[in-house]
Amino acid sequence: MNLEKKKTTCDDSESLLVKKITGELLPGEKQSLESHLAQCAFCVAQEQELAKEWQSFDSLPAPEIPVALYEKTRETILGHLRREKALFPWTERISMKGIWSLLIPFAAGLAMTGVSYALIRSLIDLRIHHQHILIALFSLWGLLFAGGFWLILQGKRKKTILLDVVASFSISITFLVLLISYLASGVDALRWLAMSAAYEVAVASNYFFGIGNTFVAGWGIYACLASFIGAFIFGVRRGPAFSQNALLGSFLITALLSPAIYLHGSSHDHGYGILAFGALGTFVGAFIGVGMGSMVSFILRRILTPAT
Amino acid sequence: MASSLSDEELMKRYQSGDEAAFEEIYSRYGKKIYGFLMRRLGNPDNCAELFQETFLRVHKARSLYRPEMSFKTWLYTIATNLIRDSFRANGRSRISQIPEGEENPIEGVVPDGSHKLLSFKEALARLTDDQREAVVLSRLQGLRYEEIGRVMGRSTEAVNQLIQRAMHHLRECIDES
Repeated sequence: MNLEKKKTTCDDSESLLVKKITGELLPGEKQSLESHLAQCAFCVAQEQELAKEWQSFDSLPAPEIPVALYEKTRETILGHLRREKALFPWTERISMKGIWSLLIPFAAGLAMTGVSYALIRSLIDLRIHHQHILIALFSLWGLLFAGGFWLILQGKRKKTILLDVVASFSISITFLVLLISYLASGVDALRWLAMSAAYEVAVASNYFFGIGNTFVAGWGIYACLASFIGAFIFGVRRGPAFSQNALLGSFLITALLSPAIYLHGSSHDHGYGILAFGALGTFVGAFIGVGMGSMVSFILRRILTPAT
Repeated sequence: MASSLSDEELMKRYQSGDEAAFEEIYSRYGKKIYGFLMRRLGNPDNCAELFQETFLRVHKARSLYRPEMSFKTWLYTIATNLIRDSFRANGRSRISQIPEGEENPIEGVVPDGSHKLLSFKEALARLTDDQREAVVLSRLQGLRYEEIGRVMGRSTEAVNQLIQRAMHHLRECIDES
């Protein structure tokens, strides 16, 4: 075949022929190509060659995927999906569109603030407590819970560590405040138990770190409890992934602040020492929370997820 | 029911944890992706690893997928990026392997019926990496030029030229033999 003869004039149509066999020819190009083919035997032959060349791909056998690989990959992904599935599917159905995305968390925050108030109202004495401080305190509780609830719902399909951390912190602090309120509102046995625990921790921290009083110990216990609640809630809700993040975060904070324990060890100035002690408590709490949350998550999933 | 849905609708369901939607997507693309990887990599071990990694990445990144984007394009982009990473890790910029068992001489296929010594496999192997990727995505995976362009990070016109050159080289290789 004499390929040189019409090469220059047929160059354009060669591009169009390839587009034709790949099904990419535009209407205008189709018309132009057809008019060229009507008067060019060379390009007609080219088209036939190209079409056969294109068809020759069909003669390549399709690589067969090994059944074991296909099934293993399928099972792996399904396993991930099942582990990620919410334990409480009703949370996934909550409508978060439009005004409801604000109203639901706001209502939850309001309700939680109301419960908080009901728990501690007997302790309030307006002759002693400043009203504006009380309002600020309740507003803070409401905001913390509303914010935490909103973040959880917004982030339910997102793997945003920041959302997880902030939400768990605010919710755990809210629960913690409620717990403290509950302990302080007349259940003497529990209150004395809490004080006793704080005293024991203070003695231990004095012994090991050279600092500590019940105030410092209280901080440690509260931080420990808050991080435990946070890690536990999210350990149950999302499996170990979040808990590991919480653990890592609290570990880093503890590591960063740990020198403060020694720097302020012999001082009565609480300063960074309190923060460090709180961070240590956070780490301990998150560590226990990870284990407990993951364990409960594992057990619940085994019970609630039907075997397939 | 799931089989009547588009890829994008299935992905929306998959994003919210629907197992049936994942199963349908997997049945639509599992074998195609494996075929694509085998034709690009040639090595069944590498291919198995990247096959699993492709679907794991799809799973992990599914919340980032937006339905405005063609799912097929998104999926092949993930697979292509993994192939490139693999090439980079192995210090190879060009692969010239076609899987074992694809010894498929083109003789008897060419129009004039003459016996061609060069197998179609070898002709494909002589293409540049980009040309082979474009032609495999177009011919064997059924992607449009626009989709291939997105997968490869090229313009539609660049894809057109790659495929045109690929076809030209294939013909030359076969004619040489």
